[in-house]
Amino acid sequence: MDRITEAVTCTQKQENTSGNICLCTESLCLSYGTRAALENVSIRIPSRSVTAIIGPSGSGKSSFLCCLNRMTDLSGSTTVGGSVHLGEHDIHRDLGKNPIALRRRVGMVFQLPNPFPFSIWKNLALPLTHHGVANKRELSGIIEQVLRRVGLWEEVGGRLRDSALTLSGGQQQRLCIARALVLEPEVLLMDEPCSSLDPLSTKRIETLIGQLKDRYTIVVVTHDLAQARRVADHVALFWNVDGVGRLIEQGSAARIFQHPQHELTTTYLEGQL
Amino acid sequence: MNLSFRTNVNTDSVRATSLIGLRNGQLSDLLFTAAVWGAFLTVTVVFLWLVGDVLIRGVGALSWDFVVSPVIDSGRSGGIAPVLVSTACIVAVALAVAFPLALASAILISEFLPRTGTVSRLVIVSFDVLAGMPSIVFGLFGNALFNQLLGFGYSLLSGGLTLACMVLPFMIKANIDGLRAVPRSYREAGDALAMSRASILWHVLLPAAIPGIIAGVLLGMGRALAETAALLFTSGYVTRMPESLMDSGRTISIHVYDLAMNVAGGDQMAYASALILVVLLIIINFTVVRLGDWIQRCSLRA
Amino acid sequence: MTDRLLTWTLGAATLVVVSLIAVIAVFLLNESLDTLNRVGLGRFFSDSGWSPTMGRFNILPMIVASVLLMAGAVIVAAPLAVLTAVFLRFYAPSPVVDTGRRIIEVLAAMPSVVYGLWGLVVLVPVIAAWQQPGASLMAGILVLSLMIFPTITIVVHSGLTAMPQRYIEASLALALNRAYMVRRVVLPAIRASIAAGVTLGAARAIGETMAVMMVTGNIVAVPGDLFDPVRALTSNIALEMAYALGDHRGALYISSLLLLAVVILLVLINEFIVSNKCEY
Ligand SMILES: Nc1ncnc2c1ncn2[C@@H]1O[C@H](COP(=O)(O)OP(=O)(O)OP(=O)(O)O)[C@@H](O)[C@H]1O
Ligand SMILES: [Mg+2]
Repeated sequence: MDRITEAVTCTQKQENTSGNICLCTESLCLSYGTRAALENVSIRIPSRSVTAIIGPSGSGKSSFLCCLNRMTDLSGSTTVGGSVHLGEHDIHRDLGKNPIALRRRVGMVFQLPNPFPFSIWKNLALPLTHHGVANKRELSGIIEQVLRRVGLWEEVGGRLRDSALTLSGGQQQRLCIARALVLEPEVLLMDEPCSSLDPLSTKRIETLIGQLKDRYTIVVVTHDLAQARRVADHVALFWNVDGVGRLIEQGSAARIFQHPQHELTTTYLEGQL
Repeated sequence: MNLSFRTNVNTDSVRATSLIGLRNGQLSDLLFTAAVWGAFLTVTVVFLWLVGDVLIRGVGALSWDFVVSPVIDSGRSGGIAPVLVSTACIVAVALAVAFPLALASAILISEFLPRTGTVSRLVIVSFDVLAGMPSIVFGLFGNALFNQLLGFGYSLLSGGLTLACMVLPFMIKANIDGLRAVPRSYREAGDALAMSRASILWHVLLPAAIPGIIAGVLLGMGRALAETAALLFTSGYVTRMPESLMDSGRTISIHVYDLAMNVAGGDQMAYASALILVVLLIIINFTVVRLGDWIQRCSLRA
Repeated sequence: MTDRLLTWTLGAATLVVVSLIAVIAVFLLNESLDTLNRVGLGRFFSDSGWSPTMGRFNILPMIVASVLLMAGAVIVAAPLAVLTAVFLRFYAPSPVVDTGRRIIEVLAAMPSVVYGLWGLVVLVPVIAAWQQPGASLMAGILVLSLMIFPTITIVVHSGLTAMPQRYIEASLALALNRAYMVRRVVLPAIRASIAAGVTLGAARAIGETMAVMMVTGNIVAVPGDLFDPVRALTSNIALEMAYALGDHRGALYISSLLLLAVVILLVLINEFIVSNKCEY
């Protein structure tokens, strides 16, 4: 236990802080009711790059993502401690009671595609109209561009009025990414975005992530270490220690994969290679 | 692929308008919150008004004497003893006839018919029509069949049989829910032991489905107690103590109606009877709902 | 062997139940047929008034009244029910949720005579103080809407509970506020449940007899405004059946056939909606 805490502080000191830090947490804790799920997570996520969150199942990766855009508010019994900074702002204190403004800046894509049971068009137009884009021409322009961006335009551009539920799983997931992009968030959180997809769709989404990172800060949870190698610039490893999720090691992808410092990291990387 | 992302759209327009959008959004959020709270409060107020009215006006005339005395002066004084007896008889007839039919149909539908087949869909639709049929129409049917064709006249029997037709679909539905909540593994275990369908049914399924079956009986009882229109022309209005099922008699619901509409100065007694009726129905209904929740939890666990 | 017997018994019982609806229809038709032949269907809509003992059979005013009552009740109850269901699912603090559920359950359990009694003794005088005579279309609509409110609320609420959580998560992640989420995502997503609730409520409203009879004044006339007394088709049967003979009785059975037809139509619409409901 002490050994781990030591290791955590040690990796933090060694972390090179080149580039702007977009998101950073300080001793973040999360509990569901009385059960702690995350403890003492202090992470720094550089802007305009891809950070992969890896770790075994149940180590609190999804829970961690939910802290970043306050999806944790959804259930009344969760409590969050510590702080999360987005740029200069503390997302709890400065953005106060209004998680809407935060979620406007921090988009999210879920593990299972979750398009609304409406037309493709309406799925994309809905967030835009809510956030004040009423002009139909402008809507069409934005929708066409996000669809091109995720490579869906060629596939579904002609049938925007069809129900989004008629799309294949991979198309649905790309639609969900497009939907998250229409609001031009600064940060995009992706929770295992490829876990329900075939290799081809996975490839497309990985390419997409590569293209998006020069505009967005991307945090992606993945179980696929090869994927993390392919897309990530930075990597953070979570581990379930005595039933509570902890951050074990973080750093640039190259360093973590080549010179892991913590023995759990070594074990995890070896176990899967 | 077009990599120039949103070149011909003014990117800032989204963010700029969104500031206004957010403010608008907050206003409409506030209005909508007010609307849902308003709706709920309206309902609560009307509910308290209704229930409070029945409770306050009803309690005054309520006493043990009221329950055990005969109806005097069209109900302006005395009690409701014969009415309670007639009610019990009619409900008993209705349940005695409807229960076996309902249970048998429920077993056939849930255990023997394919769940999504055309046959079971047709059967279910016919039950829905039966469940939605106006009670006055049941009354006319009962009058034509039981009172006239079968010659039972205005009697507790005619009323009970009419109500049996009426409560059937509700009882069947509750029984089906109860049976479907029994885990599939019970049936498979029975099949694996080479038990016959009949003995699986008798020894395994029915005992496990008892909560649903009870819920069905209670539901039927509640429907029967609450019914008025179907009885006006089948069981009749008579306030005397019935001596047999062939006597005419009125249920407590009809008594409430008659006192309120046809007896000047009967309001007080109408309220007292209504209070008894409402309390009975609330107890029955709560039990049914709790049983339903329980069944659902069991089936989720299984 | 026992299995064969069992299946036959069950089959026979089910057949009795399923054929019941046909038996009912046949009996109603049988009672109406003579009158239909003698009087003809046209006169039920074209006679100069409703006085069946003198051979005048116009039931149009009562059809109009029934339809107005049903439409009015749905217009009042449906928005209230949808808002209440939304309140219980998304807005209510948890102790209030339980109270709310109890309230809906009790309202659903109330028998129609009690609604009628309350309407007659409490509501009608209130309306009368505002606009004479009190017993009116308005009173009928209010009492009926109160009666069908729990039906619609329960159906809509179960639609809300059945709706997958992921739509809510998606809405939150898109920074939609709660009102927008409910109005633009949740309600459209459960529109089938809303429609099902409304048809169910409408069927209950058009078939209701006692409560309507007790509060609407029962005068056979097409109402000029909301405060005019009316007589519904159902009330008419209940009021006149006791002394109806011959064609009068036949006319009442014909109106019951009409009611049955409307209810079958509503149930079929409901069935269509429910079976075409998308399975998320
Ligand atoms: N809504 C919730 N309520 C209660 N406990 C929860 C909830 N969500 C997650 N947990 C618990 O928190 C812990 C961390 O869960 P989390 O979903 O964050 O893990 P994860 O790392 O994303 O796992 P996986 O890789 O399987 O997705 C688990 O023990 C889980 O049981
Ligand atoms: Mg997860």
